[in-house]
Amino acid sequence: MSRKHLATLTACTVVATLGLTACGSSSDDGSSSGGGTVTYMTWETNATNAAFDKTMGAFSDSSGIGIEREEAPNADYAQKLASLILAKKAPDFFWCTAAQGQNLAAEGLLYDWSDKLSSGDGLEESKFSPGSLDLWRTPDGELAGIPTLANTYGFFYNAEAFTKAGVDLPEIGWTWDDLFASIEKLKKDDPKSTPLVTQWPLLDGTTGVSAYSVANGGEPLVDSLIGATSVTADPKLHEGAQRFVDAIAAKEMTGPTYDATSSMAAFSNGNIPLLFGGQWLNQMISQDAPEFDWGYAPWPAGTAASVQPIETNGVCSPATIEDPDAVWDAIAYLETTGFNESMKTVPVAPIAYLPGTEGYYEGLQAQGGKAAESIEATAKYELAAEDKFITSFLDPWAVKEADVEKTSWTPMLDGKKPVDVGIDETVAGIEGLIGQ
Amino acid sequence: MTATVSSTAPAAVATPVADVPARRVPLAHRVPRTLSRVAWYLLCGMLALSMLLPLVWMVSIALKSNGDVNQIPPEFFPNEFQLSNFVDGPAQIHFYRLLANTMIVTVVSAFGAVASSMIVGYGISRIDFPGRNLWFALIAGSLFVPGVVGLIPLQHLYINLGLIDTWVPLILPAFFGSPIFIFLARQYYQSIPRYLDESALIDGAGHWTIFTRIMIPITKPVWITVAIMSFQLAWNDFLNPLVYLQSQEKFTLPLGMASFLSDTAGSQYNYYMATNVLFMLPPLVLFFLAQRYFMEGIGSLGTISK
Repeated sequence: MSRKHLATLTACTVVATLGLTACGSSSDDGSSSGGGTVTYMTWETNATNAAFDKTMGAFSDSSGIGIEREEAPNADYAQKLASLILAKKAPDFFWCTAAQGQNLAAEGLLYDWSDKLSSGDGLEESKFSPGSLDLWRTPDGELAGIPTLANTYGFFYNAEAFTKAGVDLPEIGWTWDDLFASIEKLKKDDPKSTPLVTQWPLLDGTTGVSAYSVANGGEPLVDSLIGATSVTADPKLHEGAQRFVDAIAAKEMTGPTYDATSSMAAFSNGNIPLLFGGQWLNQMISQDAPEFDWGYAPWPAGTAASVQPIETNGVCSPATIEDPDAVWDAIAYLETTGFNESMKTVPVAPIAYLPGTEGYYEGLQAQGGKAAESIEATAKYELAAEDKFITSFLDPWAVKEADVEKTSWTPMLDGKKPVDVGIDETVAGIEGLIGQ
Repeated sequence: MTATVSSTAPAAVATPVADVPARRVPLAHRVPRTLSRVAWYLLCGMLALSMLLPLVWMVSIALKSNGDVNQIPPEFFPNEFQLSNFVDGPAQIHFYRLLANTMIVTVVSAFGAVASSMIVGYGISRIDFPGRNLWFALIAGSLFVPGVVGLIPLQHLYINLGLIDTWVPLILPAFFGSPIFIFLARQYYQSIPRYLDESALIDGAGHWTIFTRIMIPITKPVWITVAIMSFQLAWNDFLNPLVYLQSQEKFTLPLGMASFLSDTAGSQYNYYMATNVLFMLPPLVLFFLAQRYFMEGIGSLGTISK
């Protein structure tokens, strides 16, 4: 290659590079995307996003407010969001968990929607599922986000396996005693199996066992959903933890280190009688079309109360949004109409704003069958419950709480530490985090 | 009676036959030729199978319905061949637009990596300057620094330069050389006799002429190797596009591929695999076209004398 050719090639490449890379660098004024278009970002699948595009497009047409969805891969959503916030380029509203909302609000990065909500413009506070807004109130009284997708947790059951073992099917109102008795009988019926598989680490986690304690007349592990100040290890918490340790040791249920990657497929193929997880697993199980009757039962009740899980994801906005009114209009539309339209197509989760959840139920009804009916009934039951527990700690220290669970709680469940020691260490660990 | 041996005339001591070590018979003679060949082909077959099976399994999933994917025990042949996955999957992520983006980013990055690494490698190998060895040690040492360490500082840099949501952060680093490629180039240059440079110098050539007229042609295997490796790195890069790109129209294929996977609402494995077949074709074709040079480039490293 001659020098002339090489120089020409290099020059062309440099020009092409500059030309290509110069394109599209948008505003760098530190604000979120503005300019008359409301931007938003979800962690949903392609199919669900397509449904959102359709309904939000209709909103744009009717309101004259431009709306644009920014892409983010589901699996690495948190990383994507962190980089956008760091670059001060977060969309006008984005999907976030309550814990993310609390953390970002504590850093002063989120817009406070409390005034807009209390004004009653577009959304009414009273129409949110009981307790759902509490997860989004900061200790300072701000509203870090608006709750949207409300996950429920329960038990997918294989009706045939239960019938074969002579065990009553789990249903609304079933108790912790029913749960432990069921898996014991299922184990006896098929000693090689592990009847209860936990797909999601909640049932025997700290918050799950805390719920057991409260449902059976004990105290919760921490004294407050937000801004916890003290930690209590009630005797009922010890009792609950011991029951889980015993069940895991007897191989009646899977332990905390179980790899649940293929558990949905195993359930769909009839290899698991009872699968603990969120209602969203329906999306995977139903598409596998199990060849047996199955259903979904809620979180068990205790002797003192039925304490049900509450986990509302939501939408948050950066503190720097340029046109809060337009963003609020888009969020209000999403809650009242957008979710009804999109969840009808892809029924992923019920909605915390109750008028917006009808579409989810219609989607389930369109799916048809007893399983869909039981999912709808369970969702309604859990959302309406007055006594609720949080599925994960929400205070900023919660980020480090996973380490406490890993070093104290998990070995206890695995039988590597006595229950008393495991609980004491967990309590001390959380107290240390709160005190920091 | 104890035998005595004269110091001047050592006695020949008879060694028992049993103590004579048997002459080593080569393995090739001890094992029948046919058996040896069968074992060799069996081993090669098993290795080939272990390489090919994931690819074949990928194609199998690409042809199934998503429900079939989760069958236990898994079935190799689909119940029904769903060829539409190869259309519907790519369509979901605007595959061809993302392909064009990826191709541009990858080709420019690969060019940058080849140019910068070959030039820096030449300098360190052929030009005597103070601190040359220190520079080489620093470059070689930086091989052990994980790339992710620089992610946050670099992100701050690009944010302050206003280069977020452009392809610059994906392309620019390649033009500053990569330690592994510089190391590779330098090692190859070391194997080229010095008299070539010296002859050219006597004839009045400068370093640029030596580099472009002499070195580039004879280092073809190594720069093709660098090109293939940098192409593959840029092609598969997920983290940097995830962090730096925001507008969908600038996304690269790895970002699009990730949108098929969901930890909550169900992954579309059949679409994912169908699109993945198309995604992996360009690097595969490139490798097959240039594999002779690639093997030479890698293989030559073992012949470097210093």
